[in-house]
Amino acid sequence: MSYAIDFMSEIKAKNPGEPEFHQAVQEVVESLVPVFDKSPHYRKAKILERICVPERTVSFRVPWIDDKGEIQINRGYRIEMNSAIGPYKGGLRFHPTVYLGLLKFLAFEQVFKNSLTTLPMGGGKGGSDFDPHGKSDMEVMKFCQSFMTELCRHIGQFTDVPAGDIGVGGREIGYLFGQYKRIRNEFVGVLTGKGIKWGGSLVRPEATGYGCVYFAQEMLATRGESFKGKACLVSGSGNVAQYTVEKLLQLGAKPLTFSDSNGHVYDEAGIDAEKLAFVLDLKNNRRGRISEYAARYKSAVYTPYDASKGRNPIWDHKADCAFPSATQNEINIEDARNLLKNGVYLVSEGANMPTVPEGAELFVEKRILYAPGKAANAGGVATSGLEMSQNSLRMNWSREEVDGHLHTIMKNIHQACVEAASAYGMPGNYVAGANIAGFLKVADAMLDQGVV
Amino acid sequence: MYFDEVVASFEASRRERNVFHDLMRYRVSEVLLVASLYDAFVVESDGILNEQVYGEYYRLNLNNVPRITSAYTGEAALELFRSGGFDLAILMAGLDFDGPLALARSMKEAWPSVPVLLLATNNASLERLDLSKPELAAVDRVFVWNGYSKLFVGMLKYIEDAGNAPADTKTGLIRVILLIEDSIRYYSRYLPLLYEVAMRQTQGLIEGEKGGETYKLLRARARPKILLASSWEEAVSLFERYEPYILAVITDLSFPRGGRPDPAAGLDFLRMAKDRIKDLPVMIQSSEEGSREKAEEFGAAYADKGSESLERELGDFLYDRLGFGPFRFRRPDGSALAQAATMDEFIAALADIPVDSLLYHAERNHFSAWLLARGEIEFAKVLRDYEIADFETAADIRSFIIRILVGARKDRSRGSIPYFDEVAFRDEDSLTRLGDGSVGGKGRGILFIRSLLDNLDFGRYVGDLDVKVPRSAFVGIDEFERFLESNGLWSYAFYESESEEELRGRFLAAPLDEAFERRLERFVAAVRGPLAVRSSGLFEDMMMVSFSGVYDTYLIPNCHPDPAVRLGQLESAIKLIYASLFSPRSRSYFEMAKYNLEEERMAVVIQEIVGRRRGRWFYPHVSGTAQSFNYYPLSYAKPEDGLCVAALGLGSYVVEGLPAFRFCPRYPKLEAMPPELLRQDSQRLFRALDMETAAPDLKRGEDADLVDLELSIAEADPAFSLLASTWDAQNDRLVPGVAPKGMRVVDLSSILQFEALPFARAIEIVLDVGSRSMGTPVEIEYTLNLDEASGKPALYLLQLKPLISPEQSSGSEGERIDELERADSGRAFILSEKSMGNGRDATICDVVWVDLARFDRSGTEAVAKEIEGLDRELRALGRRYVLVGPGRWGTRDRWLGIPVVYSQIAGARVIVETEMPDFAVDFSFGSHFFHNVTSMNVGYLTIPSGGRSLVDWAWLASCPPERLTEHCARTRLPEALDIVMDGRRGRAIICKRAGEG
Repeated sequence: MSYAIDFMSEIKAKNPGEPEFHQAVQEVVESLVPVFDKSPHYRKAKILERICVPERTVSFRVPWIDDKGEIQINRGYRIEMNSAIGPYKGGLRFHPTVYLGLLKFLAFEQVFKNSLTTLPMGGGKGGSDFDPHGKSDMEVMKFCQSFMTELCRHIGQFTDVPAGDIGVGGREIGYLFGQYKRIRNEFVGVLTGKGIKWGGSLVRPEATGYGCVYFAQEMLATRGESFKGKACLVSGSGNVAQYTVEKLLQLGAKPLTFSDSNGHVYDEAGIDAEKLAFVLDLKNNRRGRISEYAARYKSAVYTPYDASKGRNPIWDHKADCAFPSATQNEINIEDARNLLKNGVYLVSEGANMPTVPEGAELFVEKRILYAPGKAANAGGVATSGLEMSQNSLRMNWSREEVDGHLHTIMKNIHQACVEAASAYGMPGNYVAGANIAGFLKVADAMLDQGVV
Repeated sequence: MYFDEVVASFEASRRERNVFHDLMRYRVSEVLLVASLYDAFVVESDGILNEQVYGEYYRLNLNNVPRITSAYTGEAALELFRSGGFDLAILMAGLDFDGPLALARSMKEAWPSVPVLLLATNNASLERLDLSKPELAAVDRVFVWNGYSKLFVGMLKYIEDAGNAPADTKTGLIRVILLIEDSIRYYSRYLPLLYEVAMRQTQGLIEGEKGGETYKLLRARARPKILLASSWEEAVSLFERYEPYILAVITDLSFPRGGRPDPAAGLDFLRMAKDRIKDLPVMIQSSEEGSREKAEEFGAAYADKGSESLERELGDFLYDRLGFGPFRFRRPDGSALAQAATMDEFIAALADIPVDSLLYHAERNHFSAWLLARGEIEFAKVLRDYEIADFETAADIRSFIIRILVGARKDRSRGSIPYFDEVAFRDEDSLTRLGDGSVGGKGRGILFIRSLLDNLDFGRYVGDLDVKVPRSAFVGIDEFERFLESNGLWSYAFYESESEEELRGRFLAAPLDEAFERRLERFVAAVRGPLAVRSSGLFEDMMMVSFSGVYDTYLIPNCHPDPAVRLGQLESAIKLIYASLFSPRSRSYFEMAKYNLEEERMAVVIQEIVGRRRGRWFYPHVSGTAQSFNYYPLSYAKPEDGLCVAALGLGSYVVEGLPAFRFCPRYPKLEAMPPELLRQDSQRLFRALDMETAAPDLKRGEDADLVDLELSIAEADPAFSLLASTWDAQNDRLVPGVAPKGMRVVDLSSILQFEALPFARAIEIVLDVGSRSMGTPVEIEYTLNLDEASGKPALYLLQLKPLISPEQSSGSEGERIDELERADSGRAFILSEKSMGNGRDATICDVVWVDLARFDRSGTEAVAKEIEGLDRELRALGRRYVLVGPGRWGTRDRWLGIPVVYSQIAGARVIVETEMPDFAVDFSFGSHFFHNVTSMNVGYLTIPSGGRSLVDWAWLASCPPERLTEHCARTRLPEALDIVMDGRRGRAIICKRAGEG
């Protein structure tokens, strides 16, 4: 532990004024204490010290001309954090709050997220302080073209493969890709998140939800169980929740709930394909409230959310499994207790950090099948890798093929977590397993590749 | 650029109206009549001359009666004349002409420009006058009285016309009738007759048409001028001088040419005149034998000089040939078809007459002559410039002429509101009156819009889009007063009503004035289609005080098959609007605005709702508001570049602050929200009128028959593809149009991004012209409809009102904020980089706030109630406060913010709007609540996440609350806050202690 303390002191000294980075490193360090204790060679090789320093930081000027003919100047960045297991991979963020420190912390986290997918993807992150808000479509294009004019020197399908993030959606990826292709005169998978018609992958919207269920399926398999007949609570009603429910239905489970910010519906008859189609239309087309589900299907009861009660009633139903897919901190300690009280023994997180730390600790303590988000929701990141694979193969896989690969990846992730947890004396602890597995792959690769 | 054009056009139309003031500037006001006692006696045997003249003027409804001064001797006359001040001298001569002629010469020496007329007492005395006498050169014209009292008026008018013709023809394109007659006897009789006929007919025309009384009097000055020539040379000289203005020539057959009588002179002159003006109406008046046949052969009208029916024949000539009378539609064979006495009747008849009649009159320029007679010179000229051959079909001719006439009619009604007329109201963008009195604030706004549209040729700038106002009818405040008075409601309404429900009930039960009701009955019989019945208080939309949203507006389907039911709906709507003046909401507003309720009066505007019925629902394609000053400009847009808010469907949706699309009119391609946010926070419902609720219960409120529908219902309309884009989830982007399946986002992308219509430009022009015309930033409400019956999309302007400018800074607020920021960052309780309102206040000790720890979005209605209670408590104590909470204050959508109405927070001095992580706070542009807040200079601060804006919640929470409710708290601070708001730069700071620094 003293290593961790010393290490952190040094990190803070060498990276002053970057509290996000400090916090991210601290969390990783604390979770890897068993590794360092058992495998001191990682300390000796200064793996962690090396991981904490980006392999490369590129900072550049992005000048462009707005619709009024005025010259605008933004800053562009790309942090190529770690390429031990594959080319750098990570999103681009366009937001006025972007600065180098923020990107470094995001890039650091990306290394482990990508590693956990078991795919050959390193970690990186980039972006600009460009504010898309209040810009015309042409201005966004001109900015993207100027940004890529510089960035293209530093990226490539075998070097660095950016993707989208905040402020960088399908439109921006298109403009960036168009400019890359023009300058480099090559059509390659240099970006992910591309349009379906020009190299993008199917199953992208479904990937996180499917992946979350696949991971849970593997967890059940460790106990010789399947999803057949399992009562499942699902929170949220966006992409992740919708496709979680879809995959659950395909695997024979019985989803019981959906929710949105106003409340949840509990359908004791179970949500079937028709009801799921209703929710898809309700949320994806009509942007309605989930309460309409109860108005439509009499077997369902709608309960509005009342924050004063200090708990979320969606977690207060008898069930076998829970898939929090809505938002951060939606399961507090009381919710966690309620879940356990109601018989839930599997929690697979589709959202990012939906369970508060105390809740997560409780799940681990009670030894339920608890999959933290960084493992369970890796499906989305994995699909980026699948897009890269298709581009390399110059193939467009069908939906079924992509889904099949995704399934395999989630199995592999699960396996990696299980093995890592076991190897370090914490069998069944997927939280530890995820942290350790992600780290180990990178660390071992770095050891193999010498002091570079 | 546009504003300059509006100003130029305004000035031009004023000049046009002023032109009537410039007509007939020369007046004969002072006349010196020189007659011997005997001659005077003879003349006055029918009554004192002054009185005779006065009587004639009165009979002819003329004003400016001249004063006649009599002199009985030449010496006396000359002495008077030399003293000056006379406009005309009339010298009577009975037996002796030498005296008067000598006097005439002396007068000309004294005042050469003053006309002198010689008046022989009778024919017999006239025969004694040697017309070759050189002394006659001092006389401008010789007349013979013959006991004809009307002659004096004729003489005076003759002199005035001769004096005014040069200026009037140039200024007002006044027409001239040329009379060629050398016989003194005949023209002495003929001229007054001609004047009388012309004057009577002109007056008759004017009386028959619509327009203000003053305008009618002025138009009378536009009657044709009558000029007299007595020889070929004189006639030719006058003809050449006034050729462009000659309306008709009336001539004898024989008159002097080259100093000798020439029997062919008349016809030769007419030939010459006809050569130059092909269709010139001409009349031969003669007593010669065979003259009628000559006239017929020539194709001229004819009057027998000696006939008793001379006056009638003259009248017929003016009626038939010069267009003074009703227009008589005829077939080519001359048989009568129809008759139209007024412009409205004319237009109506023109639409139905058979083609052969249409062509018959068009070929002969009868239509233009008819317009000329009515003083519609410009329009007559337009018609004259076209030949039959210029049109492809008779239908083209008909529609062209009707268009010109409708333009003439509209032009006449510029600046005035004509009373309701079923025919006239059929014109698109017609404005009419149903009740007297002031039309109130909204009414004024509509009239002003209309005048701007009349003076700016939008077609030049936005050719693919029509810009108009919807047809509107105004009920002036007189009906309101009559309603309260006749029903004994004054005292009750102002002082005694117990509840709003009871008040509305009383008003609904009380009858409207009978005459008004009959007008409403005619109105509903003529007007089908949904109507917006809007309040128009005198104080509404005034500068500095907006009253926006204080009173009611009702949208009624007006589609019930029974007119009595429709009348009942309209009446109910009007009464409920009257009642809304006395609602608690209104009273609260008056109190805060420090206005006197008793001084307010209510007019009503009834406006056709723009849009179309699509199945069960009636709605327009786009409605919204636009402001010429944007407090939160995007990117490089400046505040003066404005803001437009648009939504599919009826506009009350936007006014209530519901999610709608925002853009800058000058830079419409700038995206106010990135696509990812737009798909979450854009419009998902639209408002329509339910046409199957034919008799809505208006007591339920303004929204009685309005429904909010899902966007998918609008998809059946092909135009929807121009209004929306689709979220492509697979490719994570927004795609223009609605071809692919997916979530629809109303973003008007085809119109704004791909410029399918010059909508943004039109809005920009309206805001520019409106704000410069009003001299202050403005806000408009508008509707855009893409499938008009004309085939051309149309932008309708519904309201135009001043927007209170934040430019009220004393200049020092900005510096003070900088100072406070520099002094001690810990002092700032609230710092806002995006604020409205201006000024300083160091008196506020109270803060009413929503405790975020106990807040959730499902409970915003409860929060609104709690806030109302806290507001009431503080107002009772006479204490104003700072209000702080999450989301959009004042929105009607409870998921987006706290749905308060202004009366619930009337005590707030500053309102602070904060963001929460899952709240995309978008400022409530266009909502009337917001508008009222800013007009009261209540500070409005927003605290977006990121940036330097902040609220020190921790400090606030650490101060012990005076009162706690379930979600809110009221805190009284020991020392007043220091509030500084810089309206010019949109920044504000509220510091924890007052008076420091």
